[in-house]
Amino acid sequence: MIEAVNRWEPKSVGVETYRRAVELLEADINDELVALEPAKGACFGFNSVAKDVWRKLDRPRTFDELRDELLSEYEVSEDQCTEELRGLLDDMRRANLIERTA
Amino acid sequence: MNPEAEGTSTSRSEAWPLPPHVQLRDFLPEDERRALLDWATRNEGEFRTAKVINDSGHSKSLVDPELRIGLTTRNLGPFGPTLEKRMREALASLEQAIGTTSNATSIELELAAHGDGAHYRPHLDVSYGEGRKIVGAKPDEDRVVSAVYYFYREPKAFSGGALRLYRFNARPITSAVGPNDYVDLEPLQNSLVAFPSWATHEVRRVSCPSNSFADFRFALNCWFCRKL
Repeated sequence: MIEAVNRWEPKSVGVETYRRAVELLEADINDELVALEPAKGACFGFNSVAKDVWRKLDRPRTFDELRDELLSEYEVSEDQCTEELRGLLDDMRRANLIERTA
Repeated sequence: MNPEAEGTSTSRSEAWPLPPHVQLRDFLPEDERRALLDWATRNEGEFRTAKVINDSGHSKSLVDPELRIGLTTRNLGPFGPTLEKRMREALASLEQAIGTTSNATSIELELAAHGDGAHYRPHLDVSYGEGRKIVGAKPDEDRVVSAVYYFYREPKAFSGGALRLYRFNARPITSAVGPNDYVDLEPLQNSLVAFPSWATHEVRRVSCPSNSFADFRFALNCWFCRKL
Protein backbone atom coordinates (compact mmCIF):
# COMPACT_ATOMS: atom_id res chain seq x y z
CA MET A 1 0.00 0.00 0.00
CA ILE A 2 1.42 3.34 -1.04
CA GLU A 3 0.76 6.45 1.00
CA ALA A 4 1.30 10.02 -0.05
CA VAL A 5 3.59 10.89 2.78
CA ASN A 6 4.65 14.26 1.43
CA ARG A 7 1.21 15.64 0.74
CA TRP A 8 0.73 19.03 2.37
CA GLU A 9 -2.50 19.62 4.19
CA PRO A 10 -3.62 22.66 6.14
CA LYS A 11 -3.61 22.11 9.84
CA SER A 12 -6.94 21.77 11.50
CA VAL A 13 -7.88 24.89 13.42
CA GLY A 14 -11.60 24.56 13.79
CA VAL A 15 -14.00 21.66 13.82
CA GLU A 16 -16.93 23.76 14.96
CA THR A 17 -19.88 23.68 12.58
CA TYR A 18 -21.68 26.70 11.19
CA ARG A 19 -25.07 26.91 9.55
CA ARG A 20 -27.46 29.54 8.36
CA ALA A 21 -29.75 30.94 11.02
CA VAL A 22 -32.09 32.83 8.70
CA GLU A 23 -33.52 32.71 5.23
CA LEU A 24 -32.79 35.71 3.04
CA LEU A 25 -34.29 37.19 -0.08
CA GLU A 26 -31.26 37.61 -2.31
CA ALA A 27 -30.10 39.37 -5.46
CA ASP A 28 -26.72 38.93 -7.16
CA ILE A 29 -25.22 42.19 -8.30
CA ASN A 30 -21.98 41.47 -10.11
CA ASP A 31 -19.72 39.86 -7.50
CA GLU A 32 -21.79 41.10 -4.61
CA LEU A 33 -24.91 39.85 -2.96
CA VAL A 34 -27.58 42.12 -1.53
CA ALA A 35 -30.20 40.51 0.64
CA LEU A 36 -33.15 41.28 2.85
CA GLU A 37 -33.94 39.43 6.03
CA PRO A 38 -37.73 39.68 5.99
CA ALA A 39 -38.25 38.89 9.65
CA LYS A 40 -36.26 41.96 10.71
CA GLY A 41 -36.52 44.12 7.64
CA ALA A 42 -32.72 44.36 7.57
CA CYS A 43 -30.80 44.74 4.35
CA PHE A 44 -27.35 43.14 4.04
CA GLY A 45 -24.54 43.63 1.58
CA PHE A 46 -22.10 40.76 1.06
CA ASN A 47 -18.79 41.24 -0.71
CA SER A 48 -17.61 38.48 -3.01
CA VAL A 49 -15.92 36.41 -0.31
CA ALA A 50 -18.84 36.76 2.08
CA LYS A 51 -21.16 35.79 -0.73
CA ASP A 52 -19.10 32.66 -1.41
CA VAL A 53 -19.13 31.70 2.25
CA TRP A 54 -22.88 32.36 2.54
CA ARG A 55 -23.51 30.15 -0.48
CA LYS A 56 -21.31 27.40 0.95
CA LEU A 57 -23.39 27.54 4.11
CA ASP A 58 -26.46 26.29 2.28
CA ARG A 59 -25.66 23.23 4.36
CA PRO A 60 -23.84 23.04 7.70
CA ARG A 61 -20.06 23.26 7.30
CA THR A 62 -17.12 23.05 9.67
CA PHE A 63 -14.63 25.86 9.88
CA ASP A 64 -11.96 23.64 8.36
CA GLU A 65 -14.17 22.75 5.41
CA LEU A 66 -14.88 26.37 4.68
CA ARG A 67 -11.28 27.43 5.05
CA ASP A 68 -9.91 24.59 2.92
CA GLU A 69 -12.29 25.41 0.09
CA LEU A 70 -11.36 29.09 0.24
CA LEU A 71 -7.68 28.18 0.21
CA SER A 72 -8.25 26.22 -2.99
CA GLU A 73 -10.16 29.08 -4.61
CA TYR A 74 -8.24 32.19 -3.55
CA GLU A 75 -4.58 33.09 -3.59
CA VAL A 76 -4.16 33.65 0.10
CA SER A 77 -1.91 32.31 2.82
CA GLU A 78 -3.29 29.79 5.27
CA ASP A 79 -2.84 32.16 8.20
CA GLN A 80 -4.50 35.08 6.43
CA CYS A 81 -7.38 32.91 5.26
CA THR A 82 -7.92 31.52 8.74
CA GLU A 83 -7.89 34.97 10.30
CA GLU A 84 -10.19 36.57 7.73
CA LEU A 85 -12.64 33.69 7.70
CA ARG A 86 -12.80 33.79 11.47
CA GLY A 87 -13.58 37.50 11.33
CA LEU A 88 -16.18 37.03 8.64
CA LEU A 89 -17.96 34.26 10.50
CA ASP A 90 -17.91 36.37 13.66
CA ASP A 91 -19.49 39.25 11.70
CA MET A 92 -22.15 36.94 10.37
CA ARG A 93 -22.86 35.56 13.82
CA ARG A 94 -23.15 39.05 15.28
CA ALA A 95 -25.65 39.85 12.56
CA ASN A 96 -27.53 36.66 13.48
CA LEU A 97 -27.18 35.40 9.93
CA ILE A 98 -25.47 32.19 10.98
CA GLU A 99 -25.05 30.14 14.11
CA ARG A 100 -22.45 27.78 15.46
CA THR A 101 -23.83 24.37 16.25
CA ALA A 102 -20.87 22.56 17.79
CA MET B 1 -9.77 37.33 -0.47
CA ASN B 2 -10.15 40.98 0.13
CA PRO B 3 -9.05 42.13 3.57
CA GLU B 4 -9.96 45.72 2.75
CA ALA B 5 -13.66 45.11 2.36
CA GLU B 6 -16.22 44.45 4.99
CA GLY B 7 -17.62 40.97 4.57
CA THR B 8 -21.24 41.56 5.44
CA SER B 9 -22.75 44.79 6.52
CA THR B 10 -26.02 46.58 7.03
CA SER B 11 -24.37 49.94 6.40
CA ARG B 12 -22.15 50.91 3.52
CA SER B 13 -19.73 53.72 2.87
CA GLU B 14 -20.81 53.70 -0.76
CA ALA B 15 -24.36 53.88 -2.00
CA TRP B 16 -26.45 50.75 -2.01
CA PRO B 17 -26.92 49.50 -5.55
CA LEU B 18 -30.02 49.92 -7.63
CA PRO B 19 -32.06 46.74 -7.81
CA PRO B 20 -31.32 44.57 -10.80
CA HIS B 21 -34.15 44.80 -13.28
CA VAL B 22 -35.06 44.01 -16.84
CA GLN B 23 -37.63 45.25 -19.34
CA LEU B 24 -38.55 42.83 -22.13
CA ARG B 25 -40.18 44.32 -25.24
CA ASP B 26 -42.92 42.70 -27.34
CA PHE B 27 -43.69 40.23 -24.61
CA LEU B 28 -47.03 38.90 -25.89
CA PRO B 29 -47.96 38.12 -29.46
CA GLU B 30 -49.97 41.04 -30.80
CA ASP B 31 -53.21 39.07 -31.07
CA GLU B 32 -52.95 38.06 -27.41
CA ARG B 33 -52.23 41.60 -26.31
CA ARG B 34 -55.23 42.92 -28.23
CA ALA B 35 -57.53 40.22 -26.91
CA LEU B 36 -56.42 40.83 -23.33
CA LEU B 37 -56.93 44.58 -23.68
CA ASP B 38 -60.32 44.04 -25.27
CA TRP B 39 -61.43 41.76 -22.44
CA ALA B 40 -60.12 44.11 -19.73
CA THR B 41 -61.81 47.19 -21.16
CA ARG B 42 -65.13 45.34 -21.50
CA ASN B 43 -65.03 44.10 -17.92
CA GLU B 44 -64.64 47.27 -15.86
CA GLY B 45 -67.14 45.86 -13.39
CA GLU B 46 -64.68 43.15 -12.38
CA PHE B 47 -62.20 45.70 -11.04
CA ARG B 48 -62.25 46.82 -7.41
CA THR B 49 -60.46 49.56 -5.50
CA ALA B 50 -56.91 48.41 -4.85
CA LYS B 51 -55.86 47.74 -1.27
CA VAL B 52 -52.54 47.90 0.55
CA ILE B 53 -51.01 46.16 3.52
CA ASN B 54 -48.88 48.18 5.88
CA ASP B 55 -45.11 47.86 5.65
CA SER B 56 -44.79 45.17 8.24
CA GLY B 57 -47.92 43.42 7.15
CA HIS B 58 -49.39 43.54 10.64
CA SER B 59 -52.84 44.69 9.68
CA LYS B 60 -55.37 43.45 7.24
CA SER B 61 -55.28 44.94 3.81
CA LEU B 62 -57.06 48.25 3.55
CA VAL B 63 -57.95 51.02 1.16
CA ASP B 64 -55.70 54.05 1.63
CA PRO B 65 -55.82 56.67 -1.14
CA GLU B 66 -52.74 58.36 0.29
CA LEU B 67 -50.76 55.23 -0.44
CA ARG B 68 -52.54 53.82 -3.43
CA ILE B 69 -55.19 54.69 -5.96
CA GLY B 70 -55.99 52.10 -8.56
CA LEU B 71 -58.26 49.25 -9.55
CA THR B 72 -57.41 45.56 -9.51
CA THR B 73 -58.99 42.21 -10.16
CA ARG B 74 -57.87 38.63 -9.84
CA ASN B 75 -60.34 37.63 -12.54
CA LEU B 76 -58.36 37.19 -15.74
CA GLY B 77 -61.31 35.88 -17.70
CA PRO B 78 -60.30 33.25 -20.23
CA PHE B 79 -56.68 34.42 -20.21
CA GLY B 80 -55.51 33.03 -16.86
CA PRO B 81 -53.94 29.77 -18.08
CA THR B 82 -52.29 31.38 -21.11
CA LEU B 83 -50.86 34.27 -19.12
CA GLU B 84 -49.57 31.99 -16.41
CA LYS B 85 -47.91 29.83 -19.06
CA ARG B 86 -46.30 32.88 -20.66
CA MET B 87 -44.98 34.04 -17.31
CA ARG B 88 -43.61 30.64 -16.36
CA GLU B 89 -41.86 30.42 -19.71
CA ALA B 90 -40.27 33.82 -19.14
CA LEU B 91 -39.13 33.11 -15.60
CA ALA B 92 -35.70 31.65 -16.38
CA SER B 93 -34.65 34.62 -18.50
CA LEU B 94 -36.05 37.04 -15.94
CA GLU B 95 -34.11 35.34 -13.16
CA GLN B 96 -30.91 35.45 -15.15
CA ALA B 97 -31.37 39.12 -15.93
CA ILE B 98 -32.02 40.16 -12.35
CA GLY B 99 -29.56 37.85 -10.58
CA THR B 100 -32.19 36.11 -8.54
CA THR B 101 -32.92 32.42 -8.37
CA SER B 102 -36.52 32.37 -7.34
CA ASN B 103 -37.06 28.63 -6.92
CA ALA B 104 -40.67 29.67 -7.41
CA THR B 105 -43.27 27.08 -6.64
CA SER B 106 -46.34 29.14 -7.44
CA ILE B 107 -47.45 32.27 -9.18
CA GLU B 108 -49.93 35.07 -8.49
CA LEU B 109 -51.54 37.10 -11.23
CA GLU B 110 -53.62 40.25 -10.99
CA LEU B 111 -54.90 42.80 -13.46
CA ALA B 112 -54.55 46.47 -12.56
CA ALA B 113 -56.08 49.55 -14.16
CA HIS B 114 -54.72 53.02 -13.45
CA GLY B 115 -56.77 56.05 -14.37
CA ASP B 116 -56.34 59.75 -13.73
CA GLY B 117 -54.55 60.34 -10.41
CA ALA B 118 -53.78 56.68 -9.83
CA HIS B 119 -50.51 55.89 -8.08
CA TYR B 120 -48.89 53.56 -5.59
CA ARG B 121 -46.49 55.11 -3.09
CA PRO B 122 -43.11 53.45 -2.40
CA HIS B 123 -43.55 49.95 -1.09
CA LEU B 124 -42.20 46.42 -1.18
CA ASP B 125 -44.13 43.44 -2.47
CA VAL B 126 -43.15 41.48 0.62
CA SER B 127 -44.02 42.24 4.20
CA TYR B 128 -41.24 42.47 6.73
CA GLY B 129 -40.53 43.00 10.40
CA GLU B 130 -41.48 41.00 13.44
CA GLY B 131 -44.92 39.49 13.20
CA ARG B 132 -45.02 40.10 9.48
CA LYS B 133 -47.94 38.71 7.56
CA ILE B 134 -46.57 36.64 4.73
CA VAL B 135 -48.03 37.71 1.41
CA GLY B 136 -47.83 35.21 -1.39
CA ALA B 137 -49.73 32.83 -3.60
CA LYS B 138 -50.09 30.44 -0.68
CA PRO B 139 -50.28 31.14 3.05
CA ASP B 140 -46.65 30.23 3.75
CA GLU B 141 -45.08 31.62 0.60
CA ASP B 142 -43.27 34.87 0.01
CA ARG B 143 -43.08 36.80 -3.20
CA VAL B 144 -39.58 36.54 -4.64
CA VAL B 145 -39.72 38.01 -8.15
CA SER B 146 -42.18 40.67 -9.24
CA ALA B 147 -43.09 41.26 -12.87
CA VAL B 148 -45.38 43.82 -14.48
CA TYR B 149 -46.72 43.55 -18.01
CA TYR B 150 -48.02 46.79 -19.56
CA PHE B 151 -50.72 47.15 -22.19
CA TYR B 152 -53.09 49.92 -23.25
CA ARG B 153 -55.15 51.34 -26.07
CA GLU B 154 -53.47 53.34 -28.80
CA PRO B 155 -53.14 56.16 -29.38
CA LYS B 156 -51.95 56.31 -25.80
CA ALA B 157 -54.32 58.47 -23.75
CA PHE B 158 -52.39 58.72 -20.48
CA SER B 159 -49.02 59.90 -19.27
CA GLY B 160 -46.99 59.11 -16.20
CA GLY B 161 -47.37 55.80 -14.44
CA ALA B 162 -43.68 54.92 -14.56
CA LEU B 163 -42.36 52.23 -12.27
CA ARG B 164 -39.76 53.81 -10.00
CA LEU B 165 -37.21 51.44 -8.49
CA TYR B 166 -35.22 52.75 -5.53
CA ARG B 167 -31.78 51.78 -4.38
CA PHE B 168 -31.73 48.90 -1.96
CA ASN B 169 -32.19 50.02 1.61
CA ALA B 170 -33.70 53.34 0.50
CA ARG B 171 -36.41 54.83 2.69
CA PRO B 172 -38.08 57.21 0.25
CA ILE B 173 -41.09 57.89 2.44
CA THR B 174 -39.09 58.90 5.50
CA SER B 175 -35.81 60.11 4.02
CA ALA B 176 -34.84 62.42 1.22
CA VAL B 177 -33.87 60.78 -2.04
CA GLY B 178 -32.26 62.31 -5.08
CA PRO B 179 -32.41 61.51 -8.76
CA ASN B 180 -29.44 59.19 -8.40
CA ASP B 181 -31.33 57.07 -5.92
CA TYR B 182 -33.82 55.57 -8.32
CA VAL B 183 -34.48 54.54 -11.88
CA ASP B 184 -37.76 55.11 -13.70
CA LEU B 185 -39.07 52.49 -16.11
CA GLU B 186 -41.70 53.74 -18.51
CA PRO B 187 -44.78 51.55 -18.96
CA LEU B 188 -44.01 50.71 -22.56
CA GLN B 189 -46.67 49.04 -24.64
CA ASN B 190 -46.41 45.22 -24.54
CA SER B 191 -43.35 45.23 -22.29
CA LEU B 192 -42.62 43.15 -19.21
CA VAL B 193 -40.59 44.55 -16.32
CA ALA B 194 -39.14 42.32 -13.61
CA PHE B 195 -37.27 43.02 -10.38
CA PRO B 196 -36.76 41.45 -6.93
CA SER B 197 -40.01 41.62 -4.97
CA TRP B 198 -38.21 43.05 -1.98
CA ALA B 199 -36.93 46.09 -3.85
CA THR B 200 -38.66 49.32 -2.89
CA HIS B 201 -40.71 50.60 -5.80
CA GLU B 202 -43.60 52.87 -6.59
CA VAL B 203 -46.02 53.65 -9.38
CA ARG B 204 -45.75 57.28 -10.34
CA ARG B 205 -48.97 59.21 -10.63
CA VAL B 206 -50.92 58.69 -13.82
CA SER B 207 -52.53 61.49 -15.79
CA CYS B 208 -55.44 60.37 -17.94
CA PRO B 209 -57.44 63.45 -18.98
CA SER B 210 -60.44 61.54 -20.33
CA ASN B 211 -60.52 59.27 -17.28
CA SER B 212 -62.33 56.86 -19.52
CA PHE B 213 -61.70 53.28 -18.43
CA ALA B 214 -60.66 52.25 -21.92
CA ASP B 215 -57.92 54.90 -21.82
CA PHE B 216 -56.41 53.66 -18.56
CA ARG B 217 -52.94 52.30 -18.11
CA PHE B 218 -53.42 48.55 -17.77
CA ALA B 219 -50.99 46.15 -16.21
CA LEU B 220 -50.76 42.50 -15.39
CA ASN B 221 -49.04 42.15 -12.03
CA CYS B 222 -47.23 38.87 -11.51
CA TRP B 223 -45.46 37.51 -8.46
CA PHE B 224 -43.35 34.38 -8.40
CA CYS B 225 -43.55 32.89 -4.93
CA ARG B 226 -41.94 30.26 -2.76
CA LYS B 227 -41.64 29.29 0.85
CA LEU B 228 -38.48 30.74 2.38
